[in-house]
Amino acid sequence: MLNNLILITLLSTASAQDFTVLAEEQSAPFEGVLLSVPAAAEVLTRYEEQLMKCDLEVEYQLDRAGTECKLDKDLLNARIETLSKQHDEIVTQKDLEITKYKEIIKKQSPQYKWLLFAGGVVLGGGAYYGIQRAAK
Amino acid sequence: MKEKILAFCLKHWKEIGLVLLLLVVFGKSQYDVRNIIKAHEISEQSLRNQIATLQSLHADELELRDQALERYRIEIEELELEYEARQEEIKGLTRIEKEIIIREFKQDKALIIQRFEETYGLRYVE
Repeated sequence: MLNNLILITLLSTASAQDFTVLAEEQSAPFEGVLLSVPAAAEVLTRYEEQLMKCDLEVEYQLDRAGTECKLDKDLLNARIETLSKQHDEIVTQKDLEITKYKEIIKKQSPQYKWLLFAGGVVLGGGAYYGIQRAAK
Repeated sequence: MKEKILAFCLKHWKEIGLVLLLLVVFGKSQYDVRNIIKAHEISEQSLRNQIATLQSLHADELELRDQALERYRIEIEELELEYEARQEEIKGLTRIEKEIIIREFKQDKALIIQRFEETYGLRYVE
């Protein structure tokens, strides 16, 4: 495994993005960092691994946010449903209350109240007049 | 006897009238009080009904909330399990990829050169 080595350039003798592959004991064409094959494999796979991890993290966070959003939606729907039912119930009860109040008011204010009032005045006046006459 | 009563009534007709009027006022006030009590009872009954319904609705809402929270907990648990499984999968894939690269290097060095060029955009120098 150590027969072959990879050299990645970092310093002045090569340009910024040069690299080469060396056999064991072979002289390097420029100054740089020498990696073993497993280390080179690590460098190569790390990039792909980080890409996959990044995609996974994005997907996971999106799914999590979606689930949290769904929870908020469910909670709000439950609240809306309850408030809607509460509103309906209060309106129904108030309507019932108003109907009963109307019945009471209707009993206290009969339809011919002015006729009854006039009858009362006439009756009172007549009684007063009759008593005065009788007293004389 | 009748004459005595008539004479009494004629003599005290104002007092008798006043007593009758007071009786009428008393009767009317009693009737009004009964109506007020009835209105109060209607209002009380309405409020009792509202409280009972609100309590029932509140219990229903709590149940819906619990169901939503339970669904959320299960979904998050599934997501985390899947996340961990995918992480393990990535680790496994990376390990296999490393083995492939090491094997490729032994068989054909051009492949590893190509990988460096494609992955990092480096330039191969002989």
